[in-house]
Amino acid sequence: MSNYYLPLHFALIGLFAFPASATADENDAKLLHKNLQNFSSDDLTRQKNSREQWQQRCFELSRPANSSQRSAACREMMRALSGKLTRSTSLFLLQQVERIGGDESVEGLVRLLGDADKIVADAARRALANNPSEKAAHSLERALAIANSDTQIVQLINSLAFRKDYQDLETLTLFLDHSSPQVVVAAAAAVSQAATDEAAQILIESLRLQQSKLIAPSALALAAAIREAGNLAQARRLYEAVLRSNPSGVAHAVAIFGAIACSGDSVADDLLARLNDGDEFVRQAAINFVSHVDESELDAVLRGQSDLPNDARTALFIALGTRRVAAAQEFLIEAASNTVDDGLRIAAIEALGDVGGSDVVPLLLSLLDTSNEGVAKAAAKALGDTQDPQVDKRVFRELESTNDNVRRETLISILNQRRWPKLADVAVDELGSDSEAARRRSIGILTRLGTVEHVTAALLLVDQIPSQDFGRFSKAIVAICSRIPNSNTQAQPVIEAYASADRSDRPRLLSIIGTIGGKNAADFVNQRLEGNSGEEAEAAVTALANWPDASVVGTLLKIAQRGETESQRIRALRGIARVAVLPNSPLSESQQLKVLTQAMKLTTRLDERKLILDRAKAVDLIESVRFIRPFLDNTDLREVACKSITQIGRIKSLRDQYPELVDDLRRIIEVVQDEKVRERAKNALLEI
Amino acid sequence: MQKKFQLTQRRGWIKSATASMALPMIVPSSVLGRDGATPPSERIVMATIGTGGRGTGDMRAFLGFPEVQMVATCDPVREHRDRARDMVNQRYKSKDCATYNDFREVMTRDDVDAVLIGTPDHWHALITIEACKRGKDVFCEKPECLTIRQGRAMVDAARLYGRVVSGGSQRVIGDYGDVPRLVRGGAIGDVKEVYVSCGDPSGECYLPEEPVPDGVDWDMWLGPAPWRPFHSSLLKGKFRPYRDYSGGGMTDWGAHRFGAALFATGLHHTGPVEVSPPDGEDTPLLTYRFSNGTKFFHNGTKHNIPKYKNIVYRGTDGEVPGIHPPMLRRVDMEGYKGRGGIFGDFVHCVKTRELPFRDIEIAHRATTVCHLGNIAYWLNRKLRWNPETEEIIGDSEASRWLDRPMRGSWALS
Repeated sequence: MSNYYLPLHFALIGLFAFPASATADENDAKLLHKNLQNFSSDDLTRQKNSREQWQQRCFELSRPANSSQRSAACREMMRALSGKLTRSTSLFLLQQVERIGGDESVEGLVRLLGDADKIVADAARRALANNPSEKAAHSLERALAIANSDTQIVQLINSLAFRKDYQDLETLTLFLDHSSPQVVVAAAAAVSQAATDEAAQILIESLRLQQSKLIAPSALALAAAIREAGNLAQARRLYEAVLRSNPSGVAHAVAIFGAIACSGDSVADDLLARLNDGDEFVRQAAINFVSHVDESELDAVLRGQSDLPNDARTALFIALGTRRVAAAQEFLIEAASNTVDDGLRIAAIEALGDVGGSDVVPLLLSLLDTSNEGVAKAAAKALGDTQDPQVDKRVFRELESTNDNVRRETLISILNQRRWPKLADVAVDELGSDSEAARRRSIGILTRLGTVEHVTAALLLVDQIPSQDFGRFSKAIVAICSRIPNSNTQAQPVIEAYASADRSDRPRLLSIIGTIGGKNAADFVNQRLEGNSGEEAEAAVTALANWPDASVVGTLLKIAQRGETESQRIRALRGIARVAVLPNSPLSESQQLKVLTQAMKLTTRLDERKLILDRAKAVDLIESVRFIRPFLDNTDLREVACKSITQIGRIKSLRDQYPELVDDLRRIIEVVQDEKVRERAKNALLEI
Repeated sequence: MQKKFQLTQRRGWIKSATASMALPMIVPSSVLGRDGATPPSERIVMATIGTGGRGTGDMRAFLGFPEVQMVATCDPVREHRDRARDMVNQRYKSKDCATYNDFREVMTRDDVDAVLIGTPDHWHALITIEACKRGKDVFCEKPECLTIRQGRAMVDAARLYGRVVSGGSQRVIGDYGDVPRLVRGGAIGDVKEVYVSCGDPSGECYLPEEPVPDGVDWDMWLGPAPWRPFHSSLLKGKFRPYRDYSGGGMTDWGAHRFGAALFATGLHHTGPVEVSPPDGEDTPLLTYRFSNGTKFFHNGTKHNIPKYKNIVYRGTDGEVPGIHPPMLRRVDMEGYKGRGGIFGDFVHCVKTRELPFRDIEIAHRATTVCHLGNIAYWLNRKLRWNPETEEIIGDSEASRWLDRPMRGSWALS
């Protein structure tokens, strides 16, 4: 039998006296002991119930006001843990102690560090790590002092580091020169947690050791913490110590960055010097810092920028744009106009979009025409970004004055990027374009920027929208109308357009009216149903089937029962299946099911039956299961019935309350063809 | 040998980076210590660590990027890593993809620029931090951390080593499209309440013991988590309900939806100041209060208002989804960079050194909201939270839930 922490066990056993009979709260003690034997019961439901009951009590005991009861309960758990328990019960209790244990639990946990079962011993270690008592920290420290394997040492150091209250750096320092890399890493990390000058000094010293590469990550983390706390000088010493230790590429770059950041008043000088460094690695690492230069240092960097290599200047221009440094405009215009290096030029142009006002528009417009695609794209982007509202008008004037389609497209994209409301006027004009791309772009613009006036104008062109774009067009109209505050009148602009529309366009308009919905729309569609026949009535049924909510269910049911044509009745049934269970339905779940049940009775075809059974899965009631269940016997409908019942069967509370649902799931596992559904049914049954 | 340190700085990174002066900017590891390496702007060498369902799904997405070269898969389940390897080899029509049981072996590969972490949650922090130390960028699935302290340690490592560390919630923008723009643009006036629907907290695991199959390194799968006997469902993505490995539905979908709600309300750089569990009386839902008065409600499974699905924003002038006045003014808002959603955003940022959309700080803030909710649920008491110092105020016992000691020799050092 291996005894994982046996040496610790013997060494520590004498440190504490086992507590005399603890005065635990009697009720809690009773509750624990009543449940104890069931914690490892083979009957998983019993095991779960007993554990949940005790765990719930432990959570309750962790309330700040329950300190003495919490302590008593923990003593009771530790007493139980000192007896003979299964591993499973020990781990369960230790997890509770890990969560709520305090001073009272430490002695028992130390004993368990020496448990023969190393899984239990490790759980005890974790419980000590998360125990707020100082005694717990001291126990771990003592255990560390006598630990005799690298693994133990690592685990105990990690436990001390986890606590974040451990300050005895002297002990940890001894491990920084250890032969095991894992121990060195753990010790360095633990030291760095202290975030003090002393910790920094220890790591600076240790970076001279052979294992410096293992220590560098912790030194960098500590340096960042110290830097954030404002001690730049000490942080810089740490970064430089890392740099001296010949670090790996990543650590090297981080240290260069950090060293510049900690240069105090000479950040600009330090940065410029490194940006001009002959070592490419140093130069590239310094470039990382350019965007972080403090405002007060920017002037100095700007003055020195013209002598820098292009990659450094590019980074600088990007940073200037990001910070909207107005003073940089003249440097940027110069670079945007005259630079040969593409990267530098593009950075300057894009930065002008952030920095420049309307006075840079002529330059940017002229750059749109350049044959250099990157430069032209950057100019377009800059025009889209420029904050000055005058830019909209300048770009629009340019749009009005050109017939060049490519240029028009670019200018429209820029105005679209700028979300210029008047662009919707242009978009309406382009709805009838022969170009599919132009039409679709116009529809997109209308969706975002259109108003009721644009709806009226756009609907006049409805006959010019090809069928492949009608869905998009319809969504755009619906999107605009949905911005009308009164939901009952949202369809009004389309209703008004209907009156003057050609007969051939009316079915399309009715379908849009149905998709918008609302009271006005319902009245209007009902009138079309009652007073008309043929194409218009068919379109009215389609409109109802597209309705955005369940308010038209009654009408649809009537049509499903007494519709003039089979086509109407079928579409009504499909519409019922869709709208009855829409999210935010005003119908209760029972009402939803009732509607589906009524609809099912009216079906004559397999397709609608499948659809209704499929939609029934959205009604989370046992009655839904009872409605669907008979179809498990129907070979044509079995698969969809299985799927829907399995979907409802995911609800644990229903399974717990209605064993019949569990029986259904078992049956589904037997009969269903779809492997995914079978898997889902199995998983539902697994969840206890 | 002269170490190379080539860097192409691009605008966006600097723009984002100025928000954090602690961020040094380091190039991908492929240009460190190697002469003649392919420039990082052309090729990103990646490894996938954690190749179960989600990790493999993410890997498949990265395989679609021509500039990404996946060179290794790593998982303590042989079947998982081999299956992922075959997928990679099939994609490249080669047999070059290496497999590893232990992620530390991946870390020793200097040619790997970035890692995709698709492991269960209890591994995320350890692997992320080690990758940062090794100069590798990280795409880490959500929820990005198991505890609040782990999340902060991940942020610190990313900043210290100047790594691009992206969380993995593709839904903040992907699912909610223009909603954040509407909310930030003032479409509903001042946001007063946000109802966020997601699952409930995790709990203890009561699965029975099963024999460990051949090809499964169970000790490695557990890693820093407390020991328990093997059960096969844990390998199949069913670890989420269990506290030792995950925060449950609360952190699973909560990482998406609370992330989206924080982003839309502009609170994604801070956190709540108070978290109150439901009490069946005045507080029907778990309630977060922020210092500006905004309240978030957790619409969970046990405690919920059924009519609120997904995320609902209620403001002084309207509701989203729902009725609100038109919002036409221009709103500058962060979004994905590059092409290809959150994966493309990461690829783009690895090349340009910009901060990704789901930067680890943002991800940490989102998961912190979820974790605080879990703690309040578990302990069934109100928590006061300082989002600056990231400390629970006046409840040292609740503070013990901010982190957990790790098993064996594992530690965030």
